[in-house]
Amino acid sequence: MSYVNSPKIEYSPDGRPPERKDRRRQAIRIAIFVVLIISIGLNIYAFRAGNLINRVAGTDGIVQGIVVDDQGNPIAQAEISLAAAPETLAITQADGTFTLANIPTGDQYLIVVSQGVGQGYVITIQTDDVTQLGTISYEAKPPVWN
Amino acid sequence: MKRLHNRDHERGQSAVEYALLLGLTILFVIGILRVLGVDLQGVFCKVVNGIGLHTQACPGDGVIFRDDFSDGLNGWEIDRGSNWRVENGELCAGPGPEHRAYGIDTAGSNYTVSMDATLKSGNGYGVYFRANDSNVNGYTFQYDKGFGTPGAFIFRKWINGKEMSPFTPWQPAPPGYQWYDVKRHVEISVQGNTYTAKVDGQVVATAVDNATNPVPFFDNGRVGLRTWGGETCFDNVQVSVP
Repeated sequence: MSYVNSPKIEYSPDGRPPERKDRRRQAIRIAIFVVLIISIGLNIYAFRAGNLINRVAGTDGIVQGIVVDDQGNPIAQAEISLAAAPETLAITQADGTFTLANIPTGDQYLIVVSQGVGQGYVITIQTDDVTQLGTISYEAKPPVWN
Repeated sequence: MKRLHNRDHERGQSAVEYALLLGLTILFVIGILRVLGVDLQGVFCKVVNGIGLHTQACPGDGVIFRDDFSDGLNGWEIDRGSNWRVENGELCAGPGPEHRAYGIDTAGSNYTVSMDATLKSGNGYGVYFRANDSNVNGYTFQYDKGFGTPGAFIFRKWINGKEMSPFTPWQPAPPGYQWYDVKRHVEISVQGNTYTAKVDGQVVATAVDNATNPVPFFDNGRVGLRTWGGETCFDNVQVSVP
């Protein structure tokens, strides 16, 4: 190696080489950090949108109601569930009454299924409280309707 | 020998950092595109077809899936029913309880699905679209002899496997409609929240799903077929994107 091409070392007053400041490297690290933060933010949003916080915190409510047909007669053996929590199930009694527990708070879509066809209702569940829906009119037609 | 190279003072980015940044960026872009409802498979096929390649997954001309059942049931996932078979070059199902099958690699947001279908017996057949999960969340168009008199063409929504009542008004079929033993060409257009069904070129049903939270709205998913209480044969199933 010729003298001209040999590495040059510059020393600072304390006798140590000066630190290199590579701005490009720093910028890329900042970009990684920003993308990481955005990704975490998106996941937190998805977590909240799924009502998981309420469920983990145990802030679930209870709903009670009576399912009747378009003539006002109670419907027995109807299946009650939630769109957002299909594992939460109840079956109506002979008088059409039901109690559905462990429902995440907030607005929910309640599904009543009778004779194989579902009808949906938007309901609002209060925190740790019993929500009385009163009478629910089920008017869906069965799948075979002749 | 003394080590002359001080690793703390190496210049540039490490390969790991480059790979991490590239991976995160790709995931970020894919996430944004999915949130915006962009049909990634459609984009992929456009690129593949754009460079002159035509594969089974990307046949070209906007077609992302096509099956004439000449190779049997390949490309289909049988979900329900034990009597699916290829008969005279058509995919037939039933008779019996519900038969349900999904087309593999037919997922997307906006597409048109078309087929030839013949109802042999029973109450009707349906075409799933934007269907997800085996316990289906999505929609069906139904050629429904059993719905009222003399039957109707309806759109239904499925939530957690529950067949919901029609979410938009429907029109009954014309009096004396020939439901059985006629091969019909069925075409369903799925665009945003608007769904249009044609039978033999005539619009028979339209639906707009204006669902807002907490009412579920399904913006993507697979295509599928169903028949219940009878027998139906399907042929020339095709899914195309705009």
